[in-house]
Amino acid sequence: MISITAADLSGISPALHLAVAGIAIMLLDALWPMRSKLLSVWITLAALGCSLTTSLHRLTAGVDVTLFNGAVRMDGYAHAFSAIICLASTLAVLSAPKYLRLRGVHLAEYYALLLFSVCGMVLFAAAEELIMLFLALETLSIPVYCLVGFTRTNVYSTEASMKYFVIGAFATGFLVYGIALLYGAAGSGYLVDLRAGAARAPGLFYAGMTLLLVGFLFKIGAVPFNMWTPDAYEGAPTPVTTFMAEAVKAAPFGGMIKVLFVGFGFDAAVGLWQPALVVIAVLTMTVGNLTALVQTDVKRMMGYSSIAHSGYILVGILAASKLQSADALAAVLYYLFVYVLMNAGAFGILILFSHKDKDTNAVEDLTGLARERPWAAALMAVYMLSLTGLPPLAGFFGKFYIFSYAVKAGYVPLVIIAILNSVVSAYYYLKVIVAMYFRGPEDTGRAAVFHYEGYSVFLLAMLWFTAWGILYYGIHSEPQLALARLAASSLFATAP
Amino acid sequence: MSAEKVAFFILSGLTLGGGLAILFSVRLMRAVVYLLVSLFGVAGLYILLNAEFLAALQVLIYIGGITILMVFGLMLTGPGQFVNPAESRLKAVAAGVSSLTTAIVLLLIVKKTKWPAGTQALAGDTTAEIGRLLLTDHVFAFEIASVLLLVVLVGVALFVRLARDGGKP
Amino acid sequence: MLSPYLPILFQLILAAGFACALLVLTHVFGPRRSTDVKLSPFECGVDLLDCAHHRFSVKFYLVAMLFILFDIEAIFFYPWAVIFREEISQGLLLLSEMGTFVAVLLVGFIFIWRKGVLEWA
Repeated sequence: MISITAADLSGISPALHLAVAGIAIMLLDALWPMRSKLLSVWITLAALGCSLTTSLHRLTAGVDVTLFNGAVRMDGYAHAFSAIICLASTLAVLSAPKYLRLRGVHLAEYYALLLFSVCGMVLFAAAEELIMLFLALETLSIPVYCLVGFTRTNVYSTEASMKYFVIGAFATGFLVYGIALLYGAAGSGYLVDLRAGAARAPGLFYAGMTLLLVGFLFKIGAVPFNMWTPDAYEGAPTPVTTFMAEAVKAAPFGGMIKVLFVGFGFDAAVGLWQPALVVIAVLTMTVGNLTALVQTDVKRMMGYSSIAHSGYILVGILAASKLQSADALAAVLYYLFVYVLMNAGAFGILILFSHKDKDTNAVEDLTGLARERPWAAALMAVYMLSLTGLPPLAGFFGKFYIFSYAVKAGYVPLVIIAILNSVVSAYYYLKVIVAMYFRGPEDTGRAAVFHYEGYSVFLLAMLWFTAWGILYYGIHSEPQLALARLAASSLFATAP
Repeated sequence: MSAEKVAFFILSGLTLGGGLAILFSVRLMRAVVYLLVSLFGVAGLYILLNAEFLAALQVLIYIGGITILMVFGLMLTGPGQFVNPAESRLKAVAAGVSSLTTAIVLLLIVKKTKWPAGTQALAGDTTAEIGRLLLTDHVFAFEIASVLLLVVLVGVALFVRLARDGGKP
Repeated sequence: MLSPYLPILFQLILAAGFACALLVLTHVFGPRRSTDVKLSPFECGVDLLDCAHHRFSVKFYLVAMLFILFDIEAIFFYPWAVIFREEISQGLLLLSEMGTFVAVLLVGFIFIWRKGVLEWA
């Protein structure tokens, strides 16, 4: 029986808004190219805002609908991820116009690609079935490959795009192979049916699970599948790096957690994926942090820092899987929310001081910032301290919740390693603060100029909002956590 | 031996032989032709498996499209022979060992598995069955596939534009 | 089960056999009296200038890429067309489903057209 009902369309509307807005921007740019740039910024912000408010509204209302014959499910979990991703993308879009205008590549394509990617991200957390999961992942990834190469005249940008694309395609290969084997084992593509494959055809099931996990770990940049991260972060235009560091970072976790908890479950398969993830989490945290220590470029450093944070998030996922409690999973969602704010802000400062011919990327470039631009330096200090995990900033509470649930789950050695890693990470985050506050042009021997080129209200609004969020949502984390708990419990309702 | 078995051995011979020939050919253009042979063998195997639609897809997209794309890709580069980029023996050994282990592990798994799909009845007309699934259970995936294709079109347009005029509108 | 494919097999054998036979026949029956004049390019040709393997323009690749994209789009029509008659009671819905799919790609087509991707220059 073929049927698409109005309920299907309205249920999926958070993703639909984005796709339709992307298509609208393309038509606008094709038919009316003179006016399309500014309009497309507004269309993008409107679409993201619509999706964000719809998702939040439905999350609080407890909407839980299965759509399109079970291919997609918009429950609290999917709505929460949709909200986090739309927020992250809004922040990334706010930082874009200034930079792209300076580089002379302010094109409507940027916004269309970004919207399609966000649409894929929303669907990735909502997919209930392997084909949908794969299509959502591709819709999420391919626009980002293009966005990384957006300043094509820049050879680093092109190289980063190429590298990211080749490695991303490789990871997709793993994922598709895993999907094929899992389908062979379970005889069904629906996530809830996958577990049955473990008893039916164990060899196929475990091989498929391993391959699928490898694909996911590539996407989240976990060690040893992290080699693309620093190059792609460094080479991409800074607003795209912002987008990659928050939205593209958070989205794969949406699909991954769902596949782990609902697809593989906690009965038979857990004996394999939990120990594997413990090893990967330790490696990811340690390698990420140690490599970040020696970086002199902030974008590259943030690339390694994002690898390390993937490790912390994996610790949270492990704790949630062991405790099987919605509270522990809520801590992961809260962490992702906070992580989005911190990263958007840190890259925003780099964009703020980018010039027509030169980016401000090196740690050295920020030397003496506090004397000339005290407010900008103060904002950057907030982001860096929050990334380190200093109380009372939101970054501290994010880590605190994750680590305390991990202790409750009995992962004490893992938490000790994570805390040691946080201490190590303080060195490179504080390096930025030291450069801004305690060093001046006399130390580096060259005068740094901090003037705003191409003033952007959007960018300033984004910076102030993220800093306010980090200060406010740290202390008042309870409403966010309550929402996250609502989301997490809807996932556990379907998990075994 | 039944006709099906004969066809199976010929087709897998084409697939594997083509693959090996790619591995040992020095000229890339020839490797592409061998790839054509290998893909053709796969298309034949699909027919043996009663997957006619998949076979048609294989011929139309892989044989008719992807290999042509590869030929154009090769024509972008200058003449010359393929230089083996494996600079160290260690890397070659590591690659060989890892691919062999993967192959053996997969072979063992395939051998040990009792395939659940083997017990199910075949659909009469697979193309119609795929069509029905595509427009019922997977209708949303079908529509999202169009968005995915659209994304690729935008990407193509973007890079052409940036290459042509450095991004001036 | 394989019988519908017999004509295809025959055609393949015929094509391969014909090509091989022509090659063999020319070698067997063709008189071979090579002189310098005979080995030079025949009247219709000019002397060899340089290697035949030139670098081609990237535009060819672009066209091939666009071809594949629309090829994939066309592939989706087959299964749709096969069931259309059987499910004619829901024809309008089927039509609108395919209509949406095509409309989305039509936007892409208009886009690349207006952006000058299809122009050769």
